[in-house]
Amino acid sequence: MADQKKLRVTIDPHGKVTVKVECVPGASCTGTSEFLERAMGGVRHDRTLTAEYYETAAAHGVAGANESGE
Amino acid sequence: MSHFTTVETEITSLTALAAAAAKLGKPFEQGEVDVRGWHGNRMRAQAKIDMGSYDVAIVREKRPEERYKMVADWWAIGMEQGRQSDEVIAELTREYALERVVESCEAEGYVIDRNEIAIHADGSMELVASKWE
Repeated sequence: MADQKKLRVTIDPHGKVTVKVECVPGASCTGTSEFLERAMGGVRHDRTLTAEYYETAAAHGVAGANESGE
Repeated sequence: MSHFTTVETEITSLTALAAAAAKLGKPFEQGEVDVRGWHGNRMRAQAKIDMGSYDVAIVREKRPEERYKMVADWWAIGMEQGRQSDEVIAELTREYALERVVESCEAEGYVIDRNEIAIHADGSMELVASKWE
């Protein structure tokens, strides 16, 4: 079955870009927005895994799901 | 599941920058261009945005990846437009960011409905890109 990948992009008043990746099954979603990070210059400020990530990762028994960052 | 990533915007695409300038109604010129600064000052650059009496120079940075910076007499441009120079820079940067996001997402097969792009009073923007695979 096909999966929908969804990127919610916010551009702040100074042009800084925040991407939220949604609806990707499994922990592999951390690589989904990499093309956009590179396109915007690649100087990444932070990567925060949301509570939703932890819940789903824990349910799937993903190793390292309690680590923040990359 | 989901995660957030925040990225500082750098100019990596002249196509997106030209689109941003067009959206703001500013002529964009690419090639070896002559850039006008305050009081008749001139410089050469790889592209420029015509802001009225003065230009924004688009200068290629000495890095392996294609990357540019905007150089201008921001004070003179701000004075002419009756705005703070920071506002002029911010507006150019976020319009570029929007064009670059749309360009990059579409190149990766994502679909963005431009009519659904939310633009807030402070100039910030929100959009959704999606694809099935």
